[in-house]
Amino acid sequence: MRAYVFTDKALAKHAGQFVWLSIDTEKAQNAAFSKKYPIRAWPSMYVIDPDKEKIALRWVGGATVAQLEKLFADGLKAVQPAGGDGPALARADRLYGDGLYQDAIAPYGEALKAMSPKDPQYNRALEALLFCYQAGHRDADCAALARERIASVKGTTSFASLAGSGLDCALGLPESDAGRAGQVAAFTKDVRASLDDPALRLAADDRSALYSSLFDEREDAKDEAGARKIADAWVDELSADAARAATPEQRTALDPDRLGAFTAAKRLEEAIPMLEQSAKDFPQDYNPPARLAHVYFLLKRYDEAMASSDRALSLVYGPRRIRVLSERAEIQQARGDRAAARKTLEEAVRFADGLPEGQRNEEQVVSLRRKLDAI
Amino acid sequence: MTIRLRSLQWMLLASSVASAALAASTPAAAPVLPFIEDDYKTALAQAKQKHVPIFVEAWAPW
Repeated sequence: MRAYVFTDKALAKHAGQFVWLSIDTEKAQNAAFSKKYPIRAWPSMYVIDPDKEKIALRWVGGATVAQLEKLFADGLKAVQPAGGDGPALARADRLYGDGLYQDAIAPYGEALKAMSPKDPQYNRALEALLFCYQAGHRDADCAALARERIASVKGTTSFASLAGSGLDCALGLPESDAGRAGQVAAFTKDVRASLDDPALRLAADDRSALYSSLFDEREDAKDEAGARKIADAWVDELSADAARAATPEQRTALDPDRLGAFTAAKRLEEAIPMLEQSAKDFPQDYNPPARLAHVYFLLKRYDEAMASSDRALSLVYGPRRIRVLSERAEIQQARGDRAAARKTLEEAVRFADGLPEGQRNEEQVVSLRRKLDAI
Repeated sequence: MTIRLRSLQWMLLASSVASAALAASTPAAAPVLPFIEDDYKTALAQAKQKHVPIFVEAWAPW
């Protein structure tokens, strides 16, 4: 968002409509904010009513400029006391804003029944309901909703969202589900159609997510060659995007997706020069060395993995430190140094335990302790 | 807004969401919207004074 969207001059006309706040949820100083406004997926965008200190509208994931402009309009409407939304949509948006995704399902369903696909809020409400199902791991409901509504959003970016999420959810259905194969096949076709439609103008990371879904589908079908073909196309497209990036910041923003694609294509060595370049361009960013440590670990190049882990640890802050420590312990274990791995995990537990409310994750602490006990 | 919750763990391992993948210390291209960084209290006070809502981008540097 920061590298590609918030720098777009088309947004300048909206500057006076809101007070703009950027929150890095990893910083300890923002723990109280995260506690007050819990976040389930990154990035998330909210419109907050300053008088009620409540989220009036929530958007999960990235957005294009056009989607953002729509979100601004809906956000302004949502904070109006006599907004034009039907009561069901307003109720659903409030619950969704509060992070009560399962409670928001019924009012979103009710609102969508009464809405025409031409309603300017239709696509947003539909994608929000889909997210509620995904957040509750309700794969069958998610796939059914996506299938039922996908034709109604043809020609919009929501078509790609429903295709990708629908495929992910269909793949999550149990093998015993009689409709699984048909659902998977239909959504696969929709995902391919989304990727082949230049008029959709999807963001690079959204296209990347579609490739990832297609890759999962081929893996699910145990078609190694087919999966590899998709992964190679995924790598090629992202490499071309990176080559076209106007700034090092834009190029580096593609690193996580490119790493995913290189991993899927079993071409991990190619991630090394990419990450080394990012480390050179952004020497204070912990991500490139943390990713390098991960890549070297997978390649069993443990000395280089430890050196990269050292560098990442010297830069990382916030809850991400736990993951860096956790991966470091894995490297140490792989080297046969159980004592060092134990010490590193103990440090991770202490750190996770000491995080402020809003950043502390009890499940994570329990999982780390379990990992420690197993060494 | 394609969100892949099912494979979130894998994505995190592979290091997650591209659009948010920038460190706080990364020199950013000039934003066209005047974002206040990491200061909810100031944003709230300004919003009340100007009678406009707050637009929040909550992100993480990974």
